[in-house]
Amino acid sequence: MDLSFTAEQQAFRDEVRSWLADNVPHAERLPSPGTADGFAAHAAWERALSAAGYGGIAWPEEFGGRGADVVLQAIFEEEYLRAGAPERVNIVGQKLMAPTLWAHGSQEQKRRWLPRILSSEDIWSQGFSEPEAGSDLAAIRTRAELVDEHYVVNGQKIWTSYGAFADWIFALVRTDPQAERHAGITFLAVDMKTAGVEARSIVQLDGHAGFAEVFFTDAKVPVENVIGEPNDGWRVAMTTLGAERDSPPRSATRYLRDLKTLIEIAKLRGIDGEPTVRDELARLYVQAKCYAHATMRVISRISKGDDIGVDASVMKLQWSELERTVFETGLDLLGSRAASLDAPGDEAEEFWHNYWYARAATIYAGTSEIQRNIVSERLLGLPREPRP
Amino acid sequence: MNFDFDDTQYALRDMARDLFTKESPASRLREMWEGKPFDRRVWKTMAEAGICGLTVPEEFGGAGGTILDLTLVYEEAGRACLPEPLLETTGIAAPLIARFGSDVLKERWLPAIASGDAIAGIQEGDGSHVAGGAEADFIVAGRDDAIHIVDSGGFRASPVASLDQARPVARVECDTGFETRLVSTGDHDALTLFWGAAFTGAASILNGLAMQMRDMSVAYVTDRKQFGRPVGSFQAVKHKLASMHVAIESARPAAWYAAYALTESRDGATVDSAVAKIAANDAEALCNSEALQCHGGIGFTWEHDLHFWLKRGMALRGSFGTSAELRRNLTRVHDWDELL
Repeated sequence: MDLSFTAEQQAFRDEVRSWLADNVPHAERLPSPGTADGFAAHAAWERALSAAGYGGIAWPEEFGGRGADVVLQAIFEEEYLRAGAPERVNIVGQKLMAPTLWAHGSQEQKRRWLPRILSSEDIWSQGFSEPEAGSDLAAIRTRAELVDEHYVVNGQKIWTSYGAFADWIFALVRTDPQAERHAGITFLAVDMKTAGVEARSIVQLDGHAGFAEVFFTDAKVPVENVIGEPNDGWRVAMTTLGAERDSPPRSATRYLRDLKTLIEIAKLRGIDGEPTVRDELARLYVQAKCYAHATMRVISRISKGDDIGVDASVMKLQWSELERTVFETGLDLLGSRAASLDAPGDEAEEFWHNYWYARAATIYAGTSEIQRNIVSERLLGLPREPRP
Repeated sequence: MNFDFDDTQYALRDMARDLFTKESPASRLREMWEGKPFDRRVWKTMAEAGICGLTVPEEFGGAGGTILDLTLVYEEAGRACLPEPLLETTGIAAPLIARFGSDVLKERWLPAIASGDAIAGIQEGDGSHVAGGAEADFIVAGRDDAIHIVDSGGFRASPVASLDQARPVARVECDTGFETRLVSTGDHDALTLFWGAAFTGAASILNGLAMQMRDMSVAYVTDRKQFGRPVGSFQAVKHKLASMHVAIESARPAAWYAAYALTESRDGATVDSAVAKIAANDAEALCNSEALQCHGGIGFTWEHDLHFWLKRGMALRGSFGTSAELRRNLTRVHDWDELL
């Protein structure tokens, strides 16, 4: 066991910290990325990050990245969060679409899309979920029919993050309705400007429009936009879903930072000395520290080339529940003040945005119930639920 | 960055697992529950295998290992619900004496710990419930402003009824004075070592207990059928087991990290150890409660082995501090700037 950092890792941390200190827009917090102006401001920040070489630090050097390993990625993430830098809006492109293209894209597709993803000129969104296909992803119904050199797409995607503002969407579409569920699915890249593609924002519980429904009505998509082989889209999608496998788990830094914010709230309200308040904060501290150590364990395993596999579900359960505890504790600390959204300053707005987003954490990327099925069946070996 | 044990530590774990499985199966716990007194046969076997002297320096006949080296052995001790005073003797007394003892004291106790001839008891609080107190050859006692080492002439132990009959406790009265003083409790390093060793050791044993309760529950709900299917195929049951697993896997890295921090004398090792103990307490409490629930009626009998683990868990959860006590100390002793 050796938890010290190498000189190279320390130098990278110093470099990132210093760049962020000089460049993070602090004077004025960016407007919410759920608004058109806010999204434009966040996209501009992504382009600045990319220009400085921090867009795709994990990308292999042959595609213009720095080839940063999991430890360097974790260091970047820690520093990024510590600096209070803006929310990232091109994760889908840089961390999901890019690895999918490396594995399944043609030379032409890589040349066409990768540089613009890396520079954040194009922002991508993900079109997997549908109204009738959530936890059961293979139930997708959006159809694509091959007519001459185009697929004609009809159907609907939902919960598409930044779908109203993105330039591109990659979508799972059904190209062979006769085939068994997982067969007959194709992975298609669609330009959001295509005629017949319409994105409508969905207003989230916090009142912001973070995600969208995307409707396809006779939208014509050229065949060269198929990633991998037609009808082999499920396999391609598994690469997308597994793409973050070698990335560090969600950083514990954000939760330790949130805890600091809660301590500030308790101090402002003059209740930080109360035994019950201290106990709640200490409870959260313990949970956050445990998560921090669990992430170190996973980072160490990934850096040795270990596939963490189903343990990703254990981590998801840990952080999503921790995240919920953070904001439930915050709500307790606010007391009756929580009833007023008119709290001064943009910290309150950020608190509520994060609060509602935390409430979504046990739902997105596989609900807690699905994660517990995975942990109990695939890790503990419990008998599967009889399939209908 | 390498947050993993090395091959030697894994080999030690495997050896300990085999030894505990062979020498201290559940049937032995049952005998103790039925009144058979503690005997030193297993402890001597552990000494021969090098476990008792793991943290004793080589010049005193030990392996010269660290608290980190003990960590996976503790987990195995928890899995086996081992009655032996590994935490008290090898985990706490040996490192304290090796670090702060006089040459005479070291010569007196360290070789005897390594050879399995000396067993330690740790006096917590008023001494009314010292684990293994009646069997101990010497007592490590915190009294007044010092940690004392009290040998057999200097303490009287009288057994009291124990919650866990395979971990008998005794009322211990110690005569302490200048001659029994090991180190002042004003010594920051001494307090860090004492509490750090106690917290991380108890934490890893608790984690082992929780792991065993999880595994016993998995086996039971896989085997037990109702409505024509294993009860473990129902989500209401399997989700409990998933939650137990998640709690255990949150607590274990915290205990490993704390043992590392203590071994490497990192800043904040006492706080990290307390965090580890709280997390292990909470994981064990969840597994304790859910394991009984998963076993149903049979788990609520003396006939079934589960209660050996349930009761050890309850006894150890309070040892060196409940979660609520430790959380209170965390925010009373340290301020937030120091913790974060």
